[in-house]
Amino acid sequence: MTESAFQALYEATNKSLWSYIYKLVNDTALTDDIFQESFVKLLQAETSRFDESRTRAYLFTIATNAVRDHWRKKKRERNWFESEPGTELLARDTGHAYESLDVHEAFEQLSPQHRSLLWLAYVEEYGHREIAEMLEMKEKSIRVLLFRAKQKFIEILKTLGITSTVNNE
Amino acid sequence: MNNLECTFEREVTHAEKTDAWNERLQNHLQECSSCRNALLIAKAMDSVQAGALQKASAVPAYRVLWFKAQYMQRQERLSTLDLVKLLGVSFVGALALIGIIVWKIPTLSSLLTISESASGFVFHTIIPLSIPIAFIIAVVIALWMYSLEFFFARR
Repeated sequence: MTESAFQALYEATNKSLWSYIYKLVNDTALTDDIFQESFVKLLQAETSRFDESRTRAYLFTIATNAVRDHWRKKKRERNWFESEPGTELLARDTGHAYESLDVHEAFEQLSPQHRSLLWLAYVEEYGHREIAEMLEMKEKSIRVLLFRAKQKFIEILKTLGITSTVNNE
Repeated sequence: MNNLECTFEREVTHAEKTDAWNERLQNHLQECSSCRNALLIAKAMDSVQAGALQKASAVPAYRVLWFKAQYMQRQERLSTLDLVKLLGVSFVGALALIGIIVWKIPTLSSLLTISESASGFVFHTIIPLSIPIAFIIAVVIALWMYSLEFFFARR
């Protein structure tokens, strides 16, 4: 990859990649590390045949794998699949227009895997097949996992009384 | 609609993201709870993303990562070079040893025979012979390693 191509890719993806990692690990320092590692690994990989969207997808794959490695290293692989222990939902009055803080709280209740799936599907707008390739899973499995992630998120949002429009701060 | 999601869901979430709603989609939304849920999630994810983006202001300049990658690639090449050097030196050394043995076997045999009667003679004969051979081998190895270093450094 040439320096100018990297610069263009970096300018286009850096904030969304950082946000994605941050929402998976919830730790600024760790996010910075994984963020840098992802771009460096991308530069070291053979991506000359990739077009822009494939390169972007590959970058998210590297980042996702790095986050998973982080859980593995900490011997907390199960946390990739499950919610963090000790987090409890607080039911509120239902039907209010929700605020960002509530939504963040709801998102934090999900397992990193569910957060990753929802982010890739709804923020990055990747399809099932693309997500399956990125996470090295079967498309059918992604369909089911994403469905479960959506159900879980809806359930949490509703428990927090979030059922209508969002105020984006 | 399949049993897991409505076929309009992606269209609905994309419309929410780009604010490109049409009447057909809006009518569908009234009837489809799955799409309403998808819309709720899409809006929530917009909010989650907006919050995360606010914290992402301090990313390093692209050049920092570009040079870091260049440095790491160079380090990797140098460690490969060390391995190649080790293997190369071992290989050339072994070849040189075999070459000397094959080349000098008749001399060595005769020297060994002589050494039985006069052991001091062995060193006087072998050492002057080995010095130029060892020097030539050393020069060849040095040139070879220099060319490798030059080759890797240029890549």
